[in-house]
Parts: sequence; structure tokens; C-alpha cells
Amino acid sequence: MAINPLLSRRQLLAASATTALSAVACSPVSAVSRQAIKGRKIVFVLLRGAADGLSLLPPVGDPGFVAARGSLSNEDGRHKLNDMFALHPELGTMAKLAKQKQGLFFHAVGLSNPTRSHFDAQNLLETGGRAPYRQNVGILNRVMPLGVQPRSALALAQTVPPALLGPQEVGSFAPTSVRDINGDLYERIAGMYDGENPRLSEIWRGAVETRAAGVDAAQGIDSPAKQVGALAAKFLTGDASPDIVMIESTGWDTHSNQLGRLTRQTRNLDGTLAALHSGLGAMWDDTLVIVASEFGRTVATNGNGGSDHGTGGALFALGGALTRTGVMTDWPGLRSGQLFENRDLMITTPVESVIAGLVAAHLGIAPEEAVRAIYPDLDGLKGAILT
Amino acid sequence: MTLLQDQLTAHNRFGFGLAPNETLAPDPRGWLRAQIERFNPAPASLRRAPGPAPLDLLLSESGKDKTERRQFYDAFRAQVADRLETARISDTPFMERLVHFWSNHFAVSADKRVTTALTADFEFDGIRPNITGKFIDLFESAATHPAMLIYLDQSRSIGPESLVGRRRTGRKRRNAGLNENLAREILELHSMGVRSGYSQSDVEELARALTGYTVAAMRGGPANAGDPGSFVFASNRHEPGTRRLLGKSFPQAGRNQARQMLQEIARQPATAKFIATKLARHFIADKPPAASVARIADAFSRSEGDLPSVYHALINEDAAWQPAKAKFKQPWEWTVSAMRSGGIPARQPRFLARTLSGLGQKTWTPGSPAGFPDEEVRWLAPDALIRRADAALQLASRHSGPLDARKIAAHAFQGQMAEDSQGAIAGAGDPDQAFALFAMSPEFLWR
Repeated sequence: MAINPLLSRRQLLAASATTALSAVACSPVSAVSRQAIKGRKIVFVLLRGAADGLSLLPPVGDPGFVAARGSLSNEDGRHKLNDMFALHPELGTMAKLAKQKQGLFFHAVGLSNPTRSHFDAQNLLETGGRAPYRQNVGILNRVMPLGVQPRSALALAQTVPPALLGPQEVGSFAPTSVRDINGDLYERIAGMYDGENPRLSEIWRGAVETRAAGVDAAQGIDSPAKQVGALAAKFLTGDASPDIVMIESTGWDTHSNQLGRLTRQTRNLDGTLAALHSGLGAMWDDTLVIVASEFGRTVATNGNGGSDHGTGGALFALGGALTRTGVMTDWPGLRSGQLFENRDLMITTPVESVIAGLVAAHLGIAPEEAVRAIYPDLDGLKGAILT
Repeated sequence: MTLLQDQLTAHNRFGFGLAPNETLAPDPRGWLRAQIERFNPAPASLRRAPGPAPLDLLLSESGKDKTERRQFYDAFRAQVADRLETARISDTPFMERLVHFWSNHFAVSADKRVTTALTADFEFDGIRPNITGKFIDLFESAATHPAMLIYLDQSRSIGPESLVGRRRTGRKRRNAGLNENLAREILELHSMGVRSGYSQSDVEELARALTGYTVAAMRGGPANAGDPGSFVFASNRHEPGTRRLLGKSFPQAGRNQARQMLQEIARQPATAKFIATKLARHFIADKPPAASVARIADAFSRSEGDLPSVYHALINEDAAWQPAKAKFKQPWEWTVSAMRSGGIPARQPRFLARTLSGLGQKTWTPGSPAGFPDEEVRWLAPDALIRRADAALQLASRHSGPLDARKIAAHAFQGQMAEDSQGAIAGAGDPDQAFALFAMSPEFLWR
């Protein structure tokens, strides 16, 4: 079903029992038993550095927007989603998917325990802990055993990011230009580890397999941003077919010259998403893409045409299996009395609730089961009902 | 612990391994302590390559010309090779390791042209001369270096009530001109550590006090205020007024206001603990014993941040001498130690810089002011491991001299190597492959 693209705060509260995103909507529906769905894929894209939700998903219809944002509110060619929200001009692929009812966007979301430290906030987002660095298992590692089948996962990164760390073994492949396969050496190294270093041996043998698949998949792709998306698609549709893929993107900490820098950043992000979408083909219908960042940025422009660390931000979900589209938010407003600490977009929905709700709907499990499994430390958190 | 175990620990964990002609230190702890005295901040090996002319870059961000761009990045890569070679041949390898540690602690990332031009300078001039003095001098040197001021946007921060700020504020924007990026990272990453008792208001007050700390002749910066590209205090950008930080007042004193705040921050017990934790994590274990951290922090506090006293406390920790494979080498340490053990000179800057990037640790480019992580889980990833094998093979095959991995391994570990590793090296198909097996052996991957 299509959702009302924008619910005002008051409407949302009134409607919450049946349609709302807000966690208050959780309980009545939760008793319904669900059929877990096979073959579902999840791609998690983490924008490190705090991507500016007010630029990526600007509330152009908010009467206070221009006054509150100053020079950062000027931007031509945005993709209008409804009377209230638009997408950044460079996010054409997202806009196209939104038109096809394959994009569901969330605003004024943020951590249950917000902080303005990048590193703490990324840790909380990735591990789902109540306090930073308390939890050592990543949220995606916790998603792996959920639903009907044990899942495999792959990080498209040099190292395994915290969101994927944990008891389930995870593969990694760095999307840069390595084309070598030194098979004889790899075999000898495996032999060296096999006897007394079982853990190293297991990591090593997995790495050799992924390398072979990755070198195969990377043939003929050039632009780095597109390459990441295309590689993810090739891995997902290939023999190994991981069920969860994580992509990292950096460079979002726009303290200065934000308009120009975000243009490049969003263009790259869009290139990644476009390549992923086209590379997946029919598998797109079984894929959920979540694009998230650790927090949003200040509402006001700072002295350098940029913005500083803020609080509430935006989250993007894309995929052929989405059952809802539009922008979901309990919009807090941008006037001075409506801001968090008189400077940031207020958080009205916990980002953890959105992620758990999206994963639950996608895998066909109950939201509260997803919440318990993914966020065991967050008592009282409820998953958003999205099916 | 036997003497031999201690010797191997001193060379491998505190340094970069035994070079082919190097002999074991007879007194491992004394050897480390003596390095603090002997350390040369400006060895000849460092200034082989001229850097990529920062001045031009600060004045213009041009560089569209292809040849110019190539020269620019070649100059950067030559500095990377100098850094590598300096560590490789050093007779104070413990101190070189500390240089890299501090440079990463006060991280500046060469993500843009300007910072690319300045990161080597930052380490060579801002860090090296200050690692055997007081912490406050190192702290202030890092915070006022042009690379840091530019990287964390301080150079463009303007006090709203300063002369320049008032001229610019016709509009009623809050915090017009103020940029709190450096102030926040000073507290969170350089000194006290996150969640250690400072508040958002402390961040803002430090940001106000820091206004005026900028770089001469930058775009958008003050004109005619000093040597282009150098640190300058521009009083007409400085926010007037008394500031409050951590419950204390700091009267308006121009440049000295922020300096006095840094001194106050350096004195905080949280700073001692944060620095001690990071040092212990680097030299003892990913999760160092709390008692070790406490003793090192105590040495920091009691000596008022005297770094040699802190290093002595670290050397005195028994936990640092456990022979277990405590620390998985980061790509940089692994590369330096492989070249040192093999006697392979740092000759091909483009290849070396590319190799380090490929291993996931592009020199001086952590991509974040938090620096590179120092924990095994962040580096022991499948693809990262396989890249090391490829890199080791390349290092060996590009080296023109003789390379006998059996001898190298026997010398590096003095016979303390598992049979599986020795057997793999001895049975290799060719000398390059034997060297790659040595570099990929569990003994060598950890320190």
C-alpha cells in the first residue's frame, strides 16, 4: 500500500495506531504471525562523517527552511518528492526509484542515545549499543542468523567494518585495482597456517575464494563509485551470493564549502546506487538497500559555507520489495523553539527502530523479533511497522 | 622470561625487527631507554626529497595541469619513501615508532591537495622535534601547525564579535564565522578523550578562544600577516571576552587565551589516562591491563606530562614484555619491518606509496581525524591479508640484491620460529616466494 507521503506531527500522532512509522504504533500488529521470506538480500551503505540530511532530503516545504538554513538552502534542480520534501539534485537514481514506488525515506531520525562525536556515533549505529564501545557485535552480524536461512556476508572494504564484526565469519573484498592471483603462493600459505593456526587458516581460505570471485567480477569496470555498486551486484548475483553486503562511503563531514563538496559526494553515491540497481537485474526485487549516516548536521550554515555536527538526520531505503514508499517522518520543524539545543534538527524517531522495522519487513519476521535480535541492549525500543 | 625473549620483544614489538647486520641488544630495556636520549629528530635520510611546494597551493588550489599534478604527487610519494627509509635504517627504531604513533594520534589526513602538501611537514617539523619533551609542547605544536589548522577548518574560523566578524555579520545567523571542528577534536581525540567530562559548552568556548589561530596568505585568510603558509594569530578575528572551560575562567589574552586553555586540558587526569591508554594499546595489547594504564597515566600526571618519564613507565611494565603474539602489525609496521628484515631499501616511491594504499593504510591519510585504528579486528581482514602476500612477493621481486629468506628468518627470530613456518620457507619454489612466506608467517604478522 502507498503511504501518505507526509504526515504532519499532529496527523502522525492521530494516525499512529494503524499507519504510522512511530514506535508507538508497534504493539497491536505485532501478534500477527509472519512468513519468513527466502532469498532476501540486504545492502547497507554507511555514509561516514555525518551526511547532511537537510541537504540530501531537504524539507523545502517547511516555511522556516530558507531562513534557518541560510546559504545552504539555495540549490537548483532538486527532485521534488511531495509538497514538503525533495531530494538533492544529484540523487537522480533515488528520485527515479521513488517514482517507481521503490524508495522509502525517513527524516528526523537519529540514535537513541545521540552524541556529536563521529566515532562514538558510528560505533553506536554499527553495534546498536546503549553506550559507545560497550557492544562488540555489529548489527549486521546479528542480522545474519535471522529469518529462514543462515546468511553469509561480505564487506566491500579493506577491513571488516564494526557493523559486520562478530561471531559469524564475514568475507571482505576491497574494490580497488588488484588483478593478481598468486595461486601457488596462496596454497603454500594455507599449508603454513593449516596445522597450528586454524583461525588464520579459515580466514585465509575464505579470502582466496573471495579474491578469485572478485577479480572475475571486477573485469571492465572503471569509475570507482560505480565500481563499488557494480561489484556488489556481481557478488550478490554470483556463485557465492552473500546475503548481506556492506559498503562504506567517506567524505561527508562538510564543515566548509558544503554545496560543492556535497555535489561530488552525492554524485558518487548516486553512481554506486545506479550501478547496483542495474547490476542486480531481477534480484533487485529481493533486495533492500539501506543508506544511513551517524547523525545529521547543524541547521544553520556555519561561517565557512558548511555545517557542524548536528543531531537528527535522514535515512534512505530502496528496493524492489518495499511495500511502502514516500517520506515518513514525525517532522519536528525548523523554527528556533523546535530545534534540539537550539541548533540541530530534533530526533523524533530512533534510527534503530527504522532499521529493525525495515529488516523485519524485508525478511518477513516480526518487528519485535528483529529488535530483540539486533538491538539486545536497547530496552524499550520498538521496531517501526513497515509492512 | 628469558633474555632472548626480551631481546626479541624489544626489537620486534618496540622496534621494527632486526636488520640483517644488526645484533641483539644485550640489555633490552636499557637499549630502549637509551634511544630516548639518542633520538635524532632530523636525520639526513629525511630531507632527501623536497616537498610539494605548499606556498603555491595555499595561494591557489589550481593544479589542473597534468604534469604539475604528477610532480606534485611524486613529491608527496618521495616524502613517504623518506619516512619509510628513515624507519627502516634507524638505530632508534623505538623512537621512530613513537613518531608514527604521535603523528597518528594528532592525525591530519592528506585527503586534499593542501593537506597533501603539508602532512610530511606536520610530522617532520611539528611532531618529531617534540616527542622527547613535555606533552603540552607536542600538543600545542600539533594544534597550531598549518596542516592541522587547515585540516580541521580552524584557519577559517572567525569570532562573531571580532572586528572581522562584526564587519561580516549583517545577517543574523547564529555562530556566524565560528567553526568548532578543531576545538571538538582537540578535546575528543588529542587530549581528554570522548565522554571524559567536558561539555558542548566547553567545545564552543575553546572554539571561541581559538579564533584568530589561522594560516597566513590563505584563500579567505588574513593578508600580509606573516610568511605565507605559516601559522599566524590574527587578532582581528579573535573573539573578545573571558572564556570558561572545565569550570575555570580564562581572561581575554589574545593568543595566550587558547594556550592557557590547552595547558589546563593537558593537566586533566582524563588526558593522562587517555594518552596512557593509547600508548598501552600500541605497545602492550589491544585491551591493555587497567593496572598498566593506571601506572603509565600516573607517570604522566606526576611528571606533568614529561614524555620520557611516560616512556620509562611503559618500558617498566611487565605486561609489555609478555612474549605472546599480542599485536597484529598494521600495514605500515608490517611493510617497514619486512623491508628492514630483508635489507630492502625504499627505492621506488610510486610503488611503495601504491603498495601501502593497497594494503589499506595510505601514508598520512587515515581519512579521519581519529587516525588509523590500532586494533587487530580492524586490520586482520581476509582481503587485507591476501594483499600482504601479493605485496611481499612484489617487494621481493623488485629488490635487486640477494634475498635469502631462510637466513633472514633465522636471524629475525633467532631460531624461535614454528616448524610449519620454517618448513614453508625452506620448501618454497623460488627466493621471492620464500620471502613472501617469511613475511606472511604468523610469527611475522604479529609483534
